[in-house]
Amino acid sequence: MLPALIYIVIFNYGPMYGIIIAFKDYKPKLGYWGSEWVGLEHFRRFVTYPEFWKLIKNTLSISLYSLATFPCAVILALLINEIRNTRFKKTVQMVTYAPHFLSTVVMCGLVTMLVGREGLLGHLYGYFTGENQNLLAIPQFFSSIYVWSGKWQNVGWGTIIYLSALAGVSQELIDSARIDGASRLQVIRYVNVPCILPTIIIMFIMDTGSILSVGFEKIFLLQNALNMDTSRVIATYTYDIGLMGGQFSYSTAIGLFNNLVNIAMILIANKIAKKFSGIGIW
Amino acid sequence: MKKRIKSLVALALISVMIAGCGKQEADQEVKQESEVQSEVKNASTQQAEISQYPEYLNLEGYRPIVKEGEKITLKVAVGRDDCAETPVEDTWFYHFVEEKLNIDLEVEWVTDSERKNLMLAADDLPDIMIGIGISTEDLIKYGVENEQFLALSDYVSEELTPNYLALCEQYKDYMDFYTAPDGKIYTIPTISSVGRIGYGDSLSVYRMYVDTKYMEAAGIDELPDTLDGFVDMLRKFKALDPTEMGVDEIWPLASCWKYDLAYYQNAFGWITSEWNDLTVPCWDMEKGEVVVPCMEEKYADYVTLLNTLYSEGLIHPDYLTMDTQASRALESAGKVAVCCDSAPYVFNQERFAEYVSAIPLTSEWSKEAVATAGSVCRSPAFFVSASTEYPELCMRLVDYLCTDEGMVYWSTGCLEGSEDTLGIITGFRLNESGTDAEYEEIVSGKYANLLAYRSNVLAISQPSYICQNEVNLILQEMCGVENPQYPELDITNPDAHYRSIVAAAAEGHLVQGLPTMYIGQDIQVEYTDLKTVLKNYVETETAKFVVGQRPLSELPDFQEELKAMGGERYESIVKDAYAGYAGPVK
Repeated sequence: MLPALIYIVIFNYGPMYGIIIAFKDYKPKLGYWGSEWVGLEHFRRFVTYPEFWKLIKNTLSISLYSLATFPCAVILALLINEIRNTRFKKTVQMVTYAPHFLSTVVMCGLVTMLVGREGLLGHLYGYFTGENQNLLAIPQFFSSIYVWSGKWQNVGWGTIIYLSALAGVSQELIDSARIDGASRLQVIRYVNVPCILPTIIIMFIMDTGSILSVGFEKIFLLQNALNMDTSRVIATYTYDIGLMGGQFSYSTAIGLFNNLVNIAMILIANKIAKKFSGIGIW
Repeated sequence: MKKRIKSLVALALISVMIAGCGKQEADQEVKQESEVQSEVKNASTQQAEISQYPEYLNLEGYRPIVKEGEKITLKVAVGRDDCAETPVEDTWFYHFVEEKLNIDLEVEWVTDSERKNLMLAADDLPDIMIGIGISTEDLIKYGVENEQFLALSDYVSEELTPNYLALCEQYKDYMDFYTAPDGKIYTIPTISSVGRIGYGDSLSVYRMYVDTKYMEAAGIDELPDTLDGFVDMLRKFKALDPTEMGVDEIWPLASCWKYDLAYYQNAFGWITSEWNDLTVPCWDMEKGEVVVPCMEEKYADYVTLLNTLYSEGLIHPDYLTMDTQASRALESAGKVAVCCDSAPYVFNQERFAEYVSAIPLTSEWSKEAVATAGSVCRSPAFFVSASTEYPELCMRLVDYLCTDEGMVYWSTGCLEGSEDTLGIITGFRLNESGTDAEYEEIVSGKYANLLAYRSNVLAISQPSYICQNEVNLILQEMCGVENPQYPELDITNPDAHYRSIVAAAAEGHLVQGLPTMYIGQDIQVEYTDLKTVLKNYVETETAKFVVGQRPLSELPDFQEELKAMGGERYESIVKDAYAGYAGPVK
């Protein structure tokens, strides 16, 4: 336990002293401690930034959309669990896990080709509308492309935890249910799902903790002038203004703002889960 | 337990005391540095102040710079060309500096801008930084405001840096570009070329190549010189039968780097340097003042032009989202009549000679055909850390790089047969025409081209020149040529061909873009916030107008929206920044 604690303190809590620059006008020459205090100035600047609500709206629409697809991994895990042929089961698992190991750049390259004018989905769009189209040039489609491509990449990987939870479901319980005349669907509904419900709820609560943390890299790679209306999120703004613009105090304040919202979301989700199911992280 | 608590309290007190001392020292350093105020012009008056140079420094010459028996290591961060694959420690110049100048180098190869930004933000700077992508904004923010870079001009003297001083004098007309708002110079000038045809300021910013095969097929004898004529030419290309041209489709114009935007903007009278971002101010030839193009009435006409090109299929439907590779693939396949790319040989090695450069256009918005001139002054690339322990040594090294030998060695290497080759390279010799360097390693095919050889074998960094046009003449002198001349452009050479046609097309039309804009620290935040909002909005909405997602009838509304977003305030900030600017030199 002690080595783990030391690790957490050094690598997770230690660097957090840097948060102080969110409240300072950080100057590299003066350092963390020597820079001038500015209080909540950077937070005020962010919430009064003219595009603040647009950033929040875009970020939330993508992250809530992602959250809505949360059951996909559970459903896939339940389906895989029902496969009786071991070889086929392993093949399905391998095929669904594989995309997880693609780098974001490669994955975005594939997505760009797939939804491009000459891509499969671009052609499909043309089949229904009469004209092929680059779907990344249609702002309304951006969040769908972002979410479903992410789901395609990670849904298989996401099943691992549920499959291990399903492996822990008592076989005796399942056999009893079958003897009582339960169909496969009824076994899933009344045995498997209730048994893995704590895992599902905890994973859901954890997911709500990243509600304002839409991944920067993928959005940046899929972004273009025509979809900026919907693809400009807090993460891309922070990158522009912070890492590229060198406004480190301001971007730290935005990061801290994000984290506070995320923590609040975890607390709320935990409270709700606990109230209705009695299950929570703490 | 009590003992442990006591120890912790003691540790905390010691830390506070050390921090306090550190702060005092830092304050003193800042104070001392802020007291030093001078420019290159006043360098001679500084001489008296900087009369004591370190003992280890050889002021009699440069071989070595650090006296024998002394050992000093300089930390250096370098940026290199994409084709560099070998470690920096394998390059010839690295060994030359260590062996002949007696300066040990500890080199870090900086491969991305994030590393550079973190280096600056953490004030974790090496002694010297070369070509790592420090922008003018970085220079102002970190160099001037945070005092992280050494003001080279503070250390200039006849004794320590006679060659640097002479170079600054020689190029004094261009030194404004390298002079920070505080009047100091923090870098070595990197002048591309002055007055050498086919280089630097003799080239236009736009690169547009028209395929003569298409011109012939469309019955066009002469290149259009008006914007309307240019659009008509594209329409004629569009009307051609693809099968007769040996392709399955024809795109009148494709653009790799959106050079065509710069071309149209010039036709509107705007001398733009950032053609992808029309919130960046530029000079308006018709109005004779600095303007923000997106705030101008004729911006609506500019957007309408782009919409016409798009809606009539004169540009590819994926024009706004297409990447360089896809665009170049179309060009290489011969499907494009007007190719906006670096040079014809880049996309068509075999038929490069069959392309001509488009000529500057007039229009109803600009009576004069103009083209933004290429920049003579390249971005500052050489910086010394203000916290270096060896400022005099860094300056002496800077001075060596400004000598004839230093300039040539840094970019071109040493002469063939010279003992300076160190057995690592064969060295350069003059080519057949006797005007340029050639290398056995390239002639023999060991390296594909000069860039690959220079990046992997010769130089430790990019850019590896100080005054590009000087180097060519100096190396001829080193080879014994009595009357050195610039090599003439040989148009059978693909690279010289593009230089030749671009220079010829732009001759008499070139206008220099605006000098660097400095925004005061007091309005920096306001400027940045307005800029990011406007830039994103202009980019997004313009794209919508171009592809028809938003009707052109809403253009007046769009311009009102810009005003409501603070466009007029933004305009006044940038115009104030250029208040002292009298206009470009044509």
